[in-house]
Amino acid sequence: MKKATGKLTGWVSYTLSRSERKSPGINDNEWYASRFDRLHNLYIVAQYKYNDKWDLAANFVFSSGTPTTFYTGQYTIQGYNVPDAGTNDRNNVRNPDYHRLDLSATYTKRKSKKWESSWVFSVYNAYNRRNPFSIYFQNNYENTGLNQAIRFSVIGSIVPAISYNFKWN
Amino acid sequence: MKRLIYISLLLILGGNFSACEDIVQVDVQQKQKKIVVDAFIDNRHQTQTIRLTESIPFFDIPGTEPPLTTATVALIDTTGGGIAAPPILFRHDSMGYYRWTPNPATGDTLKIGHSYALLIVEGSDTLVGGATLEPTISRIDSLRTVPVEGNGPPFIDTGKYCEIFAYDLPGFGNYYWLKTFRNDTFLNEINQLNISQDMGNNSNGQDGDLLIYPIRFSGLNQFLRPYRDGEKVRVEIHSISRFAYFWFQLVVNQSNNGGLFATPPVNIQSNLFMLNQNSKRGVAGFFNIAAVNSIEIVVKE
Repeated sequence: MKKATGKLTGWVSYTLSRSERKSPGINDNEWYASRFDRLHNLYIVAQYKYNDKWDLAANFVFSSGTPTTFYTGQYTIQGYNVPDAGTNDRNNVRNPDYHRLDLSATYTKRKSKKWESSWVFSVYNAYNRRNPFSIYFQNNYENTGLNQAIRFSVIGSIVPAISYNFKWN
Repeated sequence: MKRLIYISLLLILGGNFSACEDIVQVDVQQKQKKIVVDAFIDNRHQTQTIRLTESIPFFDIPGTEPPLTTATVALIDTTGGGIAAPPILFRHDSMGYYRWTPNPATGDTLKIGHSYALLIVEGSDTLVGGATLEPTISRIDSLRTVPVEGNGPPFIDTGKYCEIFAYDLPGFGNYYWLKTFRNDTFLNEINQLNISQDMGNNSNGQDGDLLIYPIRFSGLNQFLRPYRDGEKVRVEIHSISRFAYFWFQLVVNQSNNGGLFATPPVNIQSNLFMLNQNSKRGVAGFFNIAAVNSIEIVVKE
C-alpha cells in the first residue's frame, strides 16, 4: 500500500507466511517450522515534508521471531549432569519478535543554484530494543551448574547519527 | 564546540557497538519425562547400587531430580540361554538408591563372562536391558609419580603427577573406564573422562600393549594440579561394553553442546528399553557391569 501525494507520503507492506520442512529422520518424520519461519512481516515507511527546509521520516519494522531448538530436560548420572532432548522436537522454541523504529530529520540548505547541502539527524532503534540476533542455551553457565538461555544482540541499543551531505553542479 | 560534538558522538557510538549478551527467561515445555537408570555396577565384593530418578526441566537446578522409590529392580543371570540362578533383588534404601550386597560365602556374586538382564518395574512402566560382565585389565605393573617441570600449558605447576603402567588385554574390542581417586574423592570433571578402546582412543589397530600416554598419564591428572606428599591416589580400571564407550563419548559431547554455534540437541540412546509402547515416559541412563582392577599408592619422596 503506497501513498505518493501530499505532505505525508510512504508505504505499508505486510506479509503473512509459514515455512515448514520435513526431513526423514528429523523430528520423527513430522513437519516442523523451518529456520526462517516468520509468521508476520510488517514494514511501514512514512515521510513528512514539514516545510521548505525540514523533512521528517520514520520507518518501523516488525518481524515475528524465528524458531530454534533447545533441550527440554536434564538428568544426573554417575555424578555427570546430562542434557536431554525429550521427544526430539526440532525448533521447539521461538526467538522473541524483532521490531525497530528509526526516525530521522533532514535539514536542507540551499546556498545557491550550484551548491546544495543537508544535514541529517537520525536515530536508529529509537526506543532502544535489544533485538535478539539469536537466543542460545548455555550449559553450566559460568560454572554455576545451571543451564541458561542467553540472548545475543548485535547493535542492540539506540544509535544516534548525524551526517552531512552535499552536492554541486 | 565542534570538538565537543565529536567527543560526545564517540562516547555514545563507541559504547553501543559492542555485541550484547543477556540472560533471559525462556519457557521450554518438558513434554516427556524420562526414567533415568544409573546402573553402573561391578563385581567387587561390596554393596552395589542402582539409582532411579526422573528427569527434570532443562532450566531447573541440577541435582534436584525426584527419586523413584517404589520400583522393583531385579538382576537376572541369563547365561546359557535360561535363568541360571534366582534373580538378585536390589532393595530400595533411600533417595532412589537400590542396593544389594554380594555374599561370596554362598556364591551370591557376579561372575565374569556371565550375561545379565536388568528388569525394572516402575509404576505401570517396565524397562529391560542387558549387559555382560567382561574381564578388565589384569596386568597393572605400577602406579608411579612423575616429576614435571611447570613450563607452560598444560602443566603450569611444577610438581608430581601420576602415571599408571597397565597393559591392554589381547584381542580387539576391550573397553575401559579409568577412574582416578585423589584421597578417596573421585575426580569427576566431565571433560577429563578417561575411557579407552584397547590401548588407545580409537580403533587404530592398537592392541595388547601398554596404555597410551593420554590414557595412562593425562587422564589421571585432572585439573592439572600436582599431587602432594602424603596424598593417596587410587586408579580403578573398569571394563565397559562397547555401547558404554560410545555412550560416554556422547555424554561428553552433549554436555559441551551450547553457545552460539551449538549443534541441534540429540538424545543419548540408552541400553535399557521401555516395554510398553504407550508409556508416557521415556528411558535414559545406562546399565553396565564392570570387572574392576585397581591400584593405590601414597605419594611420597
